[in-house]
Amino acid sequence: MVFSSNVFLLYFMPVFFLVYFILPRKVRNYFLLLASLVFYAYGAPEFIIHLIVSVIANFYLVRWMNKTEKPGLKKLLCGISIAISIGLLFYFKYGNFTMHNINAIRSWITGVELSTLNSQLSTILLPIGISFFSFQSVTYTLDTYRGVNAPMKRLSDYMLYIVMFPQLIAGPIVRYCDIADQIRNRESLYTDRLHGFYRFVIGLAKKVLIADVIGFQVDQVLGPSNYDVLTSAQLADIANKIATIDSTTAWIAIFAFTFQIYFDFAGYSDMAIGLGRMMGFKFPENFDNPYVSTTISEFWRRWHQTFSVFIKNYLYFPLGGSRVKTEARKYFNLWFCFLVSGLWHGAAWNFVVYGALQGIFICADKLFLKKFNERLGRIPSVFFTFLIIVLTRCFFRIERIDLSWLFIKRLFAFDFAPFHFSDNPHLYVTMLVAAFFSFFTLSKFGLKVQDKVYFTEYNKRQHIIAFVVSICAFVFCLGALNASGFSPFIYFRF
Amino acid sequence: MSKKPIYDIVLFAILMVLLFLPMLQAHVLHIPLKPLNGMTIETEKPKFGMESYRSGDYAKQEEAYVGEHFGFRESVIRLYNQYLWTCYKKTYAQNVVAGRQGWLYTPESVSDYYGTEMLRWQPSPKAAQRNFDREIKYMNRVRAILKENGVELLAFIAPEKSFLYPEYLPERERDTTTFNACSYFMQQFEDIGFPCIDMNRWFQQMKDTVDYPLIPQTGGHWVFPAVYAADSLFRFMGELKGAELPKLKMGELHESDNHGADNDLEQLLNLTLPIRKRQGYSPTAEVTVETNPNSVNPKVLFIGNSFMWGIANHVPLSEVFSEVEFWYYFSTVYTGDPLQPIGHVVNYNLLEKLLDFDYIVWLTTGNQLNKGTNGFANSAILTLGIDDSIRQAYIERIADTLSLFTTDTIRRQKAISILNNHPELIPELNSENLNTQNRNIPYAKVIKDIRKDSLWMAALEAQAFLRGANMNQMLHAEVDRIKAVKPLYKDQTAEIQFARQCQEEVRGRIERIPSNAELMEHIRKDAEKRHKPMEKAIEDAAIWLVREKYGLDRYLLIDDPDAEIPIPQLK
Repeated sequence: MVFSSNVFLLYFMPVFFLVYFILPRKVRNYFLLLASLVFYAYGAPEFIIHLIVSVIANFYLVRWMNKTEKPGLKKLLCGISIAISIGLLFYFKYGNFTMHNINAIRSWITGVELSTLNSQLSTILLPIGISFFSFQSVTYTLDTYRGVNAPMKRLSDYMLYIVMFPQLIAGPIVRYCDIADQIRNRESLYTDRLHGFYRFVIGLAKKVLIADVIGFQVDQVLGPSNYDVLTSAQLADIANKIATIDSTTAWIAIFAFTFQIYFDFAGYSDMAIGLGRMMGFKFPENFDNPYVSTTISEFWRRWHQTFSVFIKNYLYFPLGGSRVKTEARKYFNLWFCFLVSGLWHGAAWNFVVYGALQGIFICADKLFLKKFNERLGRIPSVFFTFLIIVLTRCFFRIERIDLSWLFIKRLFAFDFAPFHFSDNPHLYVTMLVAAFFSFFTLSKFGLKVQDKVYFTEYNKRQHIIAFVVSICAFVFCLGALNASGFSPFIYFRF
Repeated sequence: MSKKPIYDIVLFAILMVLLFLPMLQAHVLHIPLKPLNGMTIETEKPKFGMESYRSGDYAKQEEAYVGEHFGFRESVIRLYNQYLWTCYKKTYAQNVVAGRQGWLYTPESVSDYYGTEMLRWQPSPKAAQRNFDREIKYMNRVRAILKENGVELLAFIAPEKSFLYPEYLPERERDTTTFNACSYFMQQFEDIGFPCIDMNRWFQQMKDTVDYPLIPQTGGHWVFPAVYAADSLFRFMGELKGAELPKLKMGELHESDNHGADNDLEQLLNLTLPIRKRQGYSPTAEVTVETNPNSVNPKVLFIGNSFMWGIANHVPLSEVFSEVEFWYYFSTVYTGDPLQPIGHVVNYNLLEKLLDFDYIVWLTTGNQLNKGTNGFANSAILTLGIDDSIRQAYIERIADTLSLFTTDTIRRQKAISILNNHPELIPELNSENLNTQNRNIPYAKVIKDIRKDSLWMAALEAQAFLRGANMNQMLHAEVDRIKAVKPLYKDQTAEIQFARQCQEEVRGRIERIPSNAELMEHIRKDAEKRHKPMEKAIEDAAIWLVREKYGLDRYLLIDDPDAEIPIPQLK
């Protein structure tokens, strides 16, 4: 199930919250767990068993790991627990990708047609949200191993931490140590319930009124976001489209995608944080105005923050971080982390290139780019950084490297077609709105407004205004969803 | 202890109520709301099953179903549509394009004006021209054959809004061509002398002489002005046959209080607020039919598109014509009431049907000419222009080449479909030689004559009762007898008299059956089982009893058309 679906908005959410708040506190977690399993099993029944089995196995492995005094066994159990989580992720997400690449090598050596070899493979379907719950499971194992937190006493609590529906599908990746206390001991004030709902609606509006509107047009130009499902004829059609696209359309498309992905993902995070807050959870923020970053390093501190923190704590630091003997190793660690994060986004070479490029820019930041940006001044450096982000997004959106490269060539072909606002005013106005809110916090006033809306308690008058606006926006989003059709979230695939 | 400000609690309580409102409206309240207009394919309520659940189909269908049935859906969608319309002149309605100053058009009409509509159906203007030429040639040949048999085929081109009011069309600087299907057809028709009325041109000339829109601002079709066109059409039809058709007489124009048809495109937008009308609506007037002793009421077949409804809604067609049928897009059959289809063209014997009318009017608009004649020209030429034996031979030949399909039936069906789409595969149809025409045409004419002869029809009806056949089978059996020079069914007077007595007996039994409780119970059960009304079940039972009594099932037409029925001694 997804948040921006009719079933969730009109049935699941009202019924869930009504029952949840009627129930005595003691049983709320059990009900939340049950609802979360229903939420997941509703659209992905095949994978619920994998999820439950892996959660149970991890829970007991970590408990055993915590009990044992033997360091060797402790390490072994920690390794097994991580191997289960990462193994499942690898199998489901990278199984096909790995086999396709092995087949490519086999084909090159043996001369057998690649399509013949690939046709022998069975398709492995990707369970939704696997990248997120696998990572949460890893944080639990490692935080317990490192002694940051004691393991949970009840299986139901652990299961709830992993499968809690607001953050199950697309994060935020909540570290165990950040939420451990809230699972058994949290308070849901009425003001939090209202604030949570306001936040949920903000997220819904970002997704439905901005990201989906822009996304529809991006798909018209670049084809659907997942090329795996396309036939060779459809792919050829997209290739043909990209090869003949004029520079104006190409630039509009890639700028549009840059806004789409932000509002889509940030919208989802807002909805997750809002739903969590309605129940009294305080999930970590996932975005902090990433497009006002002055450097690529800053961008990654602001974009998908919980993922960046995960990579830092559970990959960068174990690799040695910046405390290594040589500068080269330091840069390699950085670059490698971004390479891995690129691959996390998808099992395809374009994501590897995307990650590698981000890594290169991060290293360049450390070497010279940051200083260059400082000299440029704040506003120019923000737009320079934004331009880099926009350009690298080509490899993110177009799932074939040759087509990404072709698209970049079209961007710089300078065969600009005349721009007509009247061709698609809805798209252009939505892009302007997206741009406005993306860069709003460049000003102090913007920051102030953001702080007021998101992070300050409301007085009576403000609550009433926010309430009315939220209800209207909710109705409006419902209209948008059903007038234009149903659209799944982009970040489910990751 | 948690702090509980009262207004937070109240707001939260209101929130919960509001979140539940759509659910309540859908399942309990059912407050009447203005329904959404337009055709949609509704999702069936999904049935929960492990297979559909595991494949994810259940979740998808449930989502679609909820999306179509949630409470206040109509208002919510209208609200969002209003926002899109007001701010961006955008709509999700598939058949509407926003023009300037609140004028609406159909997308086909707009692209036809800019000359690109044909590219949706044809690979290039050259290919379009080739296809048009073929259709025109077939239409002309069909017309010639029909004319030989007393049927007039003519074309009637309804006006297109984009050509009438180009000043409000949406701006479009790209994707324009100079090729226009309507002009091409008109030119070709003129060159070959094919009878045709071009209302598109005539309405363009008339536009500046009237102070109301000929096609309304937010509508896609003509409304009352269709009467002017109908009047001209009837005069033209009369001239073609040298006959006088009844005349239309219009009362005084006045404002209409029913604007349903004026706003057919606006209704598709499903907005909250109406669009402001700058030129008002088309007026209306009472239309009567004036006849004189010399006027004739012919049988007319219209084949065409929705512009026919403009005529049917304002002209009393049943007073002008003795019989009228409308084959909507050469597919569904109506008699004039748009809500009551009476059949489907594919189920008709096309040869007999085409020859059964006095006039066949092919009604179309320019934008639809890009698709040709909706299959009419192809079907008509295959029916009239080539003998059945030749057509069957080609079907077999094409079927033989379709080795990909497994069964003979599928191969045959595929071959028929190929031939229907490409009659040019029969070389005889491409030559100028008209001697290939269907040899069954004279017999179809005989059937037409029999139908007109009420005595003959009554005789055949009686024979149909005796021989357990329907009227269609009986008509063909009679024609077969004419072909074979055998005594006709209509001349078997003893049989006919016996049949009438049997029918009388059936009527008697129908009256007596209700008093037989046991039989009635049996009939009731049978009626329930076969979903038949009781009256029909009683009638069937009475027929069965009479047929059984005289052993008539031994003389079924289908088994032995030549069977002589022994006439029993009747009391």
